[in-house]
Amino acid sequence: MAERSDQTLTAEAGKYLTFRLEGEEYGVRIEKVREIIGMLDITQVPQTAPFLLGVINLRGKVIPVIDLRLKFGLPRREADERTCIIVMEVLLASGTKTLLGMVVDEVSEVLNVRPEELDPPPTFGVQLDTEYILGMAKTAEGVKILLDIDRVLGETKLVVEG
Amino acid sequence: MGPEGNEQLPAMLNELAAQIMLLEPGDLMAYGDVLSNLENLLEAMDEATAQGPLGMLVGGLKAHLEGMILGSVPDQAQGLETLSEGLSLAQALMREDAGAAEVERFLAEHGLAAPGASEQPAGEQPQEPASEQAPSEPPPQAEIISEEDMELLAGFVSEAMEHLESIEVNALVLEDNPEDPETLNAIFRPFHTIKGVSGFLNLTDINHLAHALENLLDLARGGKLTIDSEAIDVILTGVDTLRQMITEAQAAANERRPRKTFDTSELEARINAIITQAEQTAAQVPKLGEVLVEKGVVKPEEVQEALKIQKEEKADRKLGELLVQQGAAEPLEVAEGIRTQRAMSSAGKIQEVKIDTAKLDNLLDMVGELVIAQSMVQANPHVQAIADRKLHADLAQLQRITTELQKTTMSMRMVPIKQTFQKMIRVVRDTARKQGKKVRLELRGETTEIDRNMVEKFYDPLVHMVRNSVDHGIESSEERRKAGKPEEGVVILSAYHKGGNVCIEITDDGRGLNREKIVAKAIERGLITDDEGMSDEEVFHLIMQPGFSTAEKVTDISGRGVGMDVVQRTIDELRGKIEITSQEGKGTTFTISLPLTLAIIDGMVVMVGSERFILPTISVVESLRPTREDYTTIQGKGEMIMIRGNLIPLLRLHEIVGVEPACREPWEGLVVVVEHHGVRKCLLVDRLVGRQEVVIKSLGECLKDVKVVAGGAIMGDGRVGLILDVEGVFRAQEARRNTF
Repeated sequence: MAERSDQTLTAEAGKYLTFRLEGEEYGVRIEKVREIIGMLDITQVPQTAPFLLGVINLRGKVIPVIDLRLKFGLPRREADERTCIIVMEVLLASGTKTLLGMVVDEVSEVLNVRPEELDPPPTFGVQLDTEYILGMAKTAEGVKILLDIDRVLGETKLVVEG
Repeated sequence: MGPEGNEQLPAMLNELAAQIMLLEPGDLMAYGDVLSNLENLLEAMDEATAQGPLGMLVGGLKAHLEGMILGSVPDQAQGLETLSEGLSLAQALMREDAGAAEVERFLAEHGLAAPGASEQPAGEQPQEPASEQAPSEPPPQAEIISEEDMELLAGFVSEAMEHLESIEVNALVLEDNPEDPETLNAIFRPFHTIKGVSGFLNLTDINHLAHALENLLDLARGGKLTIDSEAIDVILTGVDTLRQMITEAQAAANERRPRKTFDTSELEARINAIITQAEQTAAQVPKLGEVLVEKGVVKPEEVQEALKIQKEEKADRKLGELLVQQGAAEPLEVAEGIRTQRAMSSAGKIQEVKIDTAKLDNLLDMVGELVIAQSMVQANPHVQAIADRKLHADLAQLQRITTELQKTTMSMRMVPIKQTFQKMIRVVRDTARKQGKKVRLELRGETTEIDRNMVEKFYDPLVHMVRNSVDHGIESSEERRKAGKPEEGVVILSAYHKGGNVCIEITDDGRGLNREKIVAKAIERGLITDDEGMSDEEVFHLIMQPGFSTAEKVTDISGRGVGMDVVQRTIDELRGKIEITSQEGKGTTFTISLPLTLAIIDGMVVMVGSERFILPTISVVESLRPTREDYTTIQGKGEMIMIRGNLIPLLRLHEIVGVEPACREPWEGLVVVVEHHGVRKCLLVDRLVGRQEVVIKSLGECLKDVKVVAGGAIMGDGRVGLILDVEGVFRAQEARRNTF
């Protein structure tokens, strides 16, 4: 478990895209966001983890899409008109960059997180694996969980042996 | 050089003048060529001329051109003009319209150094007076190539390799037709170019060897030397050596170290021997008529006749032409005149451009996207509902144009397989020679086109298979005689298009494959326990497995058992397949099928439940709806379908892909027979949608380990369709059975 010192914490300040999942607000670094699109038809792919919903056609490119709810162990939910897919550019463990989509309940806004608003990730009491968390942002609207998206999407095993 | 050297000067000057006129600023390869010719010009001069004004002028021009190449001349266009002027002056000198004074003025005006001051940078040693022999021992290659030259070197290396390949092919043509002037020229020119640029790049050893070979070819095309098998061998060995030297030069440059030396003394000695012998037999430049008489092409009287006509007519008719006209000689021309004519004429040549292949690939991808986008627009129900006839006519036109565009861009990527096939001539020749066998290679369908991206990958497997045929397939002369076969074995390489694929067949009339031997070996290696229920084709495919080899002894050519499985793997990567048929005692045929291009796959679209899947057509054998009677279950082996007397294992695709199907019984749905590496199974699907060509898309880094799926395709409705990997499907089935 990497301890985040004040120095690294300051490095986490910046612009984040925030979104909602099951009542909680999360944020991902805006530089990594490629696109936000509405729900599309997703083609299922066999031999993959349950949270990998499948692949979509993004203007001619085939992109895998992950259900963030299932990834975080939250219950499934029917998509509605506010459900979105956020397409992220993720750095994989192997060092290569790739595009991945994640399904979220609702996209909120772009937030500018200042260093003084940052808190280190909590050591307990949060459902999420704290490895995934860069830090907590305390804003006037509430607390947002800032995600290390490379870890969330990039390091997980998507393929399951048939 | 004797006085006859000077006789050549006017002609050489004229050629140079024409060449310089065509120069483009910055075309370094052409500069190198001109430089080489300027050097030849200097060599051709006798002592007196070389020391005199002409020699000084040419020397000065040479230095000037070197400056241009080295980039020390800022205005290239101006530099070319100077060169042109200098040439005109040289020609004037020859006509004696100008003298030493004009030369001195010209040199001073343009700031050109006199030749005494500049050493010939190509490092050529002073010539022996008697002849244009290959120079003495080259100095050791201690220098490391400079930064500026790196780019030039890369360009040189890639062009030189192409040149060497073409020399190789032409050398073999020459074997059958040693006098053909076009072929001789086609071999002379590349050596000349390689000599020139390597000299400029200070690759002295390469320059020397190329120079020697160039001399050899020059004598040959001048009719002073006949190419025999020794000469061919020397040329081919020369090509090999140059290839090695050039590869070494690139490697040394990349690693920033001095180059390794190559001992070319033996080769150069052989070249010199041939040249000396040729010169001794040709005491003086023979007249065309004499040469033809000597060759027995014409009779002395016919030459006399032609000479008489030539004198009488006074129109400057060539002797060669006259003789041909008289019917006394074949258009076997020896005269330099026709050669020079050909060099100047470029009528009938195909115009070619060189394009960066990355751009071409990009273009092809874009066009692929265009086809999809256009079909999506057309398939859009809103668009279809528009009741405007003009709109639909325009859309149809759009589709026609797009399809045509796709065809054209795809054809840009295609190259005839001829070059690859031609390289096999040498492979067969060398392999047969090493084994002391007599083998003939026949080529068919050389104009068949194959995707350029595949050609390179395909080369090594093809070489291996051809070697294999000669090595293992064709028997020794004695065995063949005993079997009542002609002593010379035949290997036939043929290529053709069939059903949307490129097929390449390698057939030999050798000993064929022995099923028992293969089975025995496979059992020994633990690949199978017994051959029960295996078709001949399945058994033959065992030889493609790693570690398999039934060769009695491992020859250094093949038989180490690492070859065939690599071949199979490469073919798989290219999404192709191999079929093997054989008759013991008669021969074997390997048929390789490759898709027309890697970017597009021809597939059968099937439905399982609500999901669409694509099966590569190359793997599909047939599809049918079985009857209830055709279906059976066998204890321990699972479900089977009887098709034309054979029991084929049934695979429920819905179980593999995890989709709820519409039909659970084979006789309600459809069964598609697929094949992989000789093994056949049938897949149960709901129904067939149709056959479609799709652009294959990778599923990305994250999903590359999904075995069952080979990739994705954007379907006409914009959704992604999954392309199934037949091998992956088979494996998944086996894994399931093992867990139950």
